[in-house]
Amino acid sequence: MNAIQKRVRIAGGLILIGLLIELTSLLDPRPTPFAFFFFAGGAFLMLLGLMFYLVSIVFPSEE
Amino acid sequence: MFDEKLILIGFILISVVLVAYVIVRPGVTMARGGKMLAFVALLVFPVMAGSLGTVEHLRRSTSTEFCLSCHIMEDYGKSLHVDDREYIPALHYQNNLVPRDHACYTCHTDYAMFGDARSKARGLRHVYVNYFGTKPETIKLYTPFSTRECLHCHLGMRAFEEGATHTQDPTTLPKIKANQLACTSSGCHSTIHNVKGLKDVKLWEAPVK
Repeated sequence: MNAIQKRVRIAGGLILIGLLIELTSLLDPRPTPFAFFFFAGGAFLMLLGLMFYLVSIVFPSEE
Repeated sequence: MFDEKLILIGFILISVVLVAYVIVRPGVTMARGGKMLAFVALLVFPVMAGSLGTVEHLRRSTSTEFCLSCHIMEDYGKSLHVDDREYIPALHYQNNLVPRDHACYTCHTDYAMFGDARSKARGLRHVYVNYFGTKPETIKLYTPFSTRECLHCHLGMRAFEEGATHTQDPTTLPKIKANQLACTSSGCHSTIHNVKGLKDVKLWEAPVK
């Protein structure tokens, strides 16, 4: 597995966890899941994953 | 028609499957088609799912159920069921003068240019205080309740414009409309939630549909 594949995997992992948090947060219309999505990782992990992916395609590794 | 929430959940599930595929088989990103798949799976779908999820969460945060689910708000929810027409929020709630499922937000948003955004910012602060801050003994509004919020619905309403108490003195209506005479603090409609007096009042039970 080369460096780009590793980065894609990490980005995918972060996005996947973010998506799963978003999915569970939609099951209950109360402030706890709302806070979970906005403050405890859901949106943050997805953004982090997206940034990681964008960086990996804009600045590809030379390996 | 389709339920918006179901569409969103479907969207997230498709995103999960696509992302999982790219994680399990990262080798596909070496080919041109695989690169396009990764772009869709890791960028297009997650951005759409995240944006739609944010919109759905913000929409749900305006519901009565959401506002009243914090323990500190329970009495305010109970005050909507007081069997007394003097209680202004109860009168509005019980007679469907405000949508029951968005009762709090209908009156407690600023009907001004940045009203929604300001209300959301305050709401986020409430969520933060609920979990990490010190809850105040008595809840107070940040600013006095503006007549503008009442006029958003009542302006032009026949009962409001032609009501005997409003027209008895010809200066009353112009003053209300100019926000110089407050509906709630002028002594006319001053029984609002009054949560401290809840133990002494009779509550109305909504009929089961």
